[in-house]
Amino acid sequence: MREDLSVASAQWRATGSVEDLVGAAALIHPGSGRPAVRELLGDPLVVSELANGGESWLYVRADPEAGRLESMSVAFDASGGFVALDRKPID
Amino acid sequence: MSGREHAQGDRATAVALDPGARRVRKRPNAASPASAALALALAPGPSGKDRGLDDAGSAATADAGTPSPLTRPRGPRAIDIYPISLPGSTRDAATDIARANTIWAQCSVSVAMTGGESWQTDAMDLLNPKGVLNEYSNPASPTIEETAILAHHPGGSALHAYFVPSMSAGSRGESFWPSMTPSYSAIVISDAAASDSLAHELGHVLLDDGSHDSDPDNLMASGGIRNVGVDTLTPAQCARI
Repeated sequence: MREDLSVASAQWRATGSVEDLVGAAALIHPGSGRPAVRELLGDPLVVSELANGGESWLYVRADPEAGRLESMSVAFDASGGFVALDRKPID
Repeated sequence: MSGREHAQGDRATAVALDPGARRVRKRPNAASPASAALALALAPGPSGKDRGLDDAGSAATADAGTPSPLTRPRGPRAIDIYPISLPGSTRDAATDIARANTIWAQCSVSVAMTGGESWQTDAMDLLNPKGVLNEYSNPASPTIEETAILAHHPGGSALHAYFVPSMSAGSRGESFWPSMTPSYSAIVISDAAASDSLAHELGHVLLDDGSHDSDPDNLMASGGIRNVGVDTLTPAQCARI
């Protein structure tokens, strides 16, 4: 499992692709803490504090000109646990 | 193609990866402030001509021959939009609202601008990057900047549209529809918006639905595939308004 994490992390960091982010995030257990997510995915582009006390970490910014038609973020709950990988299509 | 794609800000992937992840579900909204405000904004208004509906709108309501039950207009609806321009925004709200009025005439819905203001606020400086709206990744979990903006609600029962210079995740716009919004239904439009983005966001609010249509010609297709300028609405969509 540890090896899987290392491979997925390295692949995501090398390509920055949506597919590799999805693959890496699939290995995160619900409730995992922020340090573990940061270790796996690296530093987010933007950290947004949520009104519910959680945080949203942006890893892929939408850019239609670059063919990225959705953004992708990792959501944490108020206790700092991983909730989900959110994808938001451009409107 | 027909049907719907993933919702705006959905967690389809997360659900697939984690059966325990939350799904975005509609909630009963009968008693929420959002639904109350929208009900006021959606109240059947004066006739289309009284509200200045353009020719297309009048034709859609009165000159459609003998429409089938699916295409029969349900009567003109009047949507008042109160635009609020935040620091750095350069977008012309009147143009977007006029375009939305033309598009929504297909459903006998008239869209008009009522009032509006330029709001000098530091609400977009609460988080980094400053001067940019930090946007939600899931509509059920707005950011503190979004809740600060939505709390500024000077336009009464009108649907508020907040014009911002840019959004942190690159979105062109977003919406808070009745069953999902923490306070009032609202629309956010960035300078990067397409000409039909406001009409699209209005659609999420009117349909009370964050999902997207898979037909690129449909107004409610996501921005990644939508043929801007075509912007059709189906009779079924009109019937839901």
